Amino acid sequence: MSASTPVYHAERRRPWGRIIIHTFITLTAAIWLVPIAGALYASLRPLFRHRSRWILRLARIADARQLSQRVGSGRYPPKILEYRPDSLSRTALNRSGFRAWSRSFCTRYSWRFNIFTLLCLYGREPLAATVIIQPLFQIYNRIPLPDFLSNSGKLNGST
Amino acid sequence: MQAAPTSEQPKGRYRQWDGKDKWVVVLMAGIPALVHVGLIWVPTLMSIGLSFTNWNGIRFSDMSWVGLKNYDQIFNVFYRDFYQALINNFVLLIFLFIFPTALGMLLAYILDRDLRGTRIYQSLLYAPVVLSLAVVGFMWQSVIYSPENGLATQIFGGGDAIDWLGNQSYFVELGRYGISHNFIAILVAIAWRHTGYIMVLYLAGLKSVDNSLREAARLDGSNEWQTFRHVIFPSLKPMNVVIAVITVIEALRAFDIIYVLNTPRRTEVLSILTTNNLLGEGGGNVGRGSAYATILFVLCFGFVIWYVTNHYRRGEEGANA
Repeated sequence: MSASTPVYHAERRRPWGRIIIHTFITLTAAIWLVPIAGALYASLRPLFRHRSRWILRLARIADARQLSQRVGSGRYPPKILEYRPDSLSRTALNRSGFRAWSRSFCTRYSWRFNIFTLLCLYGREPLAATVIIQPLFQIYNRIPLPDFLSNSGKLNGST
Repeated sequence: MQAAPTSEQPKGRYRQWDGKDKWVVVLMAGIPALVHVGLIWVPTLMSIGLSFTNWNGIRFSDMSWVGLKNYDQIFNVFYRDFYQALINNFVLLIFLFIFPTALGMLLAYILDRDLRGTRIYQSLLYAPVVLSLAVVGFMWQSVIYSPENGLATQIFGGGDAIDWLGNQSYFVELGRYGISHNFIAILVAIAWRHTGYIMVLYLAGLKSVDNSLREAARLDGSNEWQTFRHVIFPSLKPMNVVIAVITVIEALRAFDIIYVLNTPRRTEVLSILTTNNLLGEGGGNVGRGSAYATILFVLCFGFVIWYVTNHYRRGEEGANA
């Protein structure tokens, strides 16, 4: 007899229980997949209808260039700065190891200090993303940009 | 006998750091903190300041101090929008606590049993969380809630078109306010995304529960429900705190999905009112928009601080007792 007791062997004695659990979880996972599968199907429908034409178009580099011109990929980085500066800064902070450092630092102190840190570092979390956009946008709009980023010298492209 | 402290021994916690270490720490903490304060807290404080002004958002010279006028307008002129949004926020909060949290916990409990294919199930159920909230909104709008071709219409419509997102009539009436049918439709989309998130958090919590506790409960003759109710659930207390805080924050600052599916009316929440006043149709009311944002901030942050402080204080008192 094994020294350790298996925790879930009651399940093995009741195959019906296992079947019900498997059915429930499979059904739930299938239902959960429906919106994504539906969106995928909807996005591929034109491909199924005009498959040959789509593949031919994919092979044409000119299309890619046209698409790039249409969406203005050259101006994409400053547009990101315009919309989500808070996310960018937070990601940069997290990726730079600041989070790990701050975590190891905070664990050495009391919960009061932890709440203070929570306030300082993650205080913006409860705010709607749009709250800080307006003042930030005004600040950024006053920062002159070089020509290669904006032909109007401003972040929002206005003249 | 204890040796007397010599002058070389460190007196404070960080006395062993030399000058170079101190510079490294100052740079490591200082630069990110400056960036953080500059990009997050300065604009946040500016927003609170802007809530006491009347400004169209174009030139600083147009800005004028109006004191509490924006708040007065919110509570006395636009009170119907405000209270409806507040009700929607609280309905969303209660809904998230009841349905996605319970379902997420149940799914986590089942998937923690090392079922065959458990990783596949976890991935499928977590998939919605990976998607952007706006994408989730568009997906539900076009795939599920499309009035004629949507999946929900095909299943429940019986051949007729159903305007899931346009039906403004109240499902539950609360005096002059209520919970509209289209808001219920939005809640389902939010639950679809939120459940996977809760499930993963509870799964992480369940992994840390000591197996010997379950074994002891089994040996004492407790059934599955009793084991969960009296052994597993109390062990998940720290995770429950995290989930409670996350749920409150998610419910009060909910924006993306609702903004995408917010057609035509009666589904507004506070963050939508903020955005509409700042940037949306008839926008340019930066002062009033900031006032809505400040109310949202106070509600949300006040609750989180109160809850976390109380929780840890009780824990500290329990440890000292």
